[in-house]
Amino acid sequence: MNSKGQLPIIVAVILSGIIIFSALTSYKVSIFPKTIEDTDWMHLIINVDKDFKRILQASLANFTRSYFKTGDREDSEGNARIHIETWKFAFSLAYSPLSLKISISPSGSIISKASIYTLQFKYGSSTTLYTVYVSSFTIQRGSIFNCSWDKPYSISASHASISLDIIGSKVYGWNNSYTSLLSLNVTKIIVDGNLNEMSITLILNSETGPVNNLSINNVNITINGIQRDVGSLNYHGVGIYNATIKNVPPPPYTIFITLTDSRGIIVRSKVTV
Amino acid sequence: MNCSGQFRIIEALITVILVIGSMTIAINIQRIPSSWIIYSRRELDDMAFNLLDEISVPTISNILSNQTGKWESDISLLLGTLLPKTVYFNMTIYEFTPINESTIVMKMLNRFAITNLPGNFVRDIYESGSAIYIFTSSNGRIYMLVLTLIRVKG
Repeated sequence: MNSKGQLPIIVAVILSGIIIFSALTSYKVSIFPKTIEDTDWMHLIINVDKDFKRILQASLANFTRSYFKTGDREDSEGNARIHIETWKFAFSLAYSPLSLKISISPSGSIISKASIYTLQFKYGSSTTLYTVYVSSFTIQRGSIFNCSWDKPYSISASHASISLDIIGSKVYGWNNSYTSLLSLNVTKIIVDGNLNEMSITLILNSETGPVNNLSINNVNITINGIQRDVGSLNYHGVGIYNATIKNVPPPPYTIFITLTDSRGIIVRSKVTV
Repeated sequence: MNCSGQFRIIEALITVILVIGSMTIAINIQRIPSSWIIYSRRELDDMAFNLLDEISVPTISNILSNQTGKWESDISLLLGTLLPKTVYFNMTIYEFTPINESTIVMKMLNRFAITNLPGNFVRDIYESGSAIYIFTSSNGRIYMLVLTLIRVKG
């Protein structure tokens, strides 16, 4: 082989090198995105963010049901917390390939501040105004649930913080806090002079604002120890409802109003006029 | 033909073999890791998760609360309507029930497979993806939904 004949081979070798190098470069570029496209941890956070609200609401419903029956707050909280622990276990199991570390803490929270409002009682032509002092409502650190019942302003609430370390995806320290509540204000009671009808005006709110889907079947009213049928329940917007009861006894009254919202959360107000 | 001429021919042949060989290697390298297939699996994972996220509250919650008749068929019909015809699915639903403070029971809820996979499924599978979704119903029952999606040729 003479020296002139080696030139095409050298050119061919260089050309081959360029082609293979180009192929390898484009190969790396094409596979590069898959190594960083890990969305499992995003799915997990979306799932936790949406479902923790649901379990907190369901557990609050469980807590209020138990408290309504037994009147034992600690026992009711213990029962409700079992559901939250079950939820935590379900998540740990479902996302075990991601080495999930999930922590739910009863961080406590001030749910509502102290306030004052006026309760109007009208019987025939006479009107009496009562000033209702609403004390601040707090869920103490260490508890997830609390309720303040048997007052003109009553409330049931739950609050918890959750934090996640997704070790498999190297995502650490995601955390958030959630609150669920149902509050009831009794603002006006009107009884006509013939005792034919009593009208009770009440305001119902949840953590997202006014409750607009209360059903007449979910309202229970007791007057002076006797349960009364609710004749009608009319909604006037912004959480304001008007419940009527036919044929009531003469005053004075001790009225218990128990409401259950569509989530199953119970709240009970008591008015003495 | 003299000796010098023969060498030229051999050199030319070696050159052609080198160039064609390198091009063949390059083409093969690029064909194997098709980026389309890689993204397809991720997209199936996302599709499965988004589907569970969207339908769990309004539809599956209602079906699971009532559990009347062959409710598994209702979910199967729903998924079959929402997914393309070239995507097969298989869904399993588990429920977590607390017995006491230290015992939790996990049981499979569906009595038969929620799937549109034919019994003798032997078709070419392009790619498969799956997602898990934990869902708490309004009455406090905790479910784990597992959805697998399989994309086939055609």
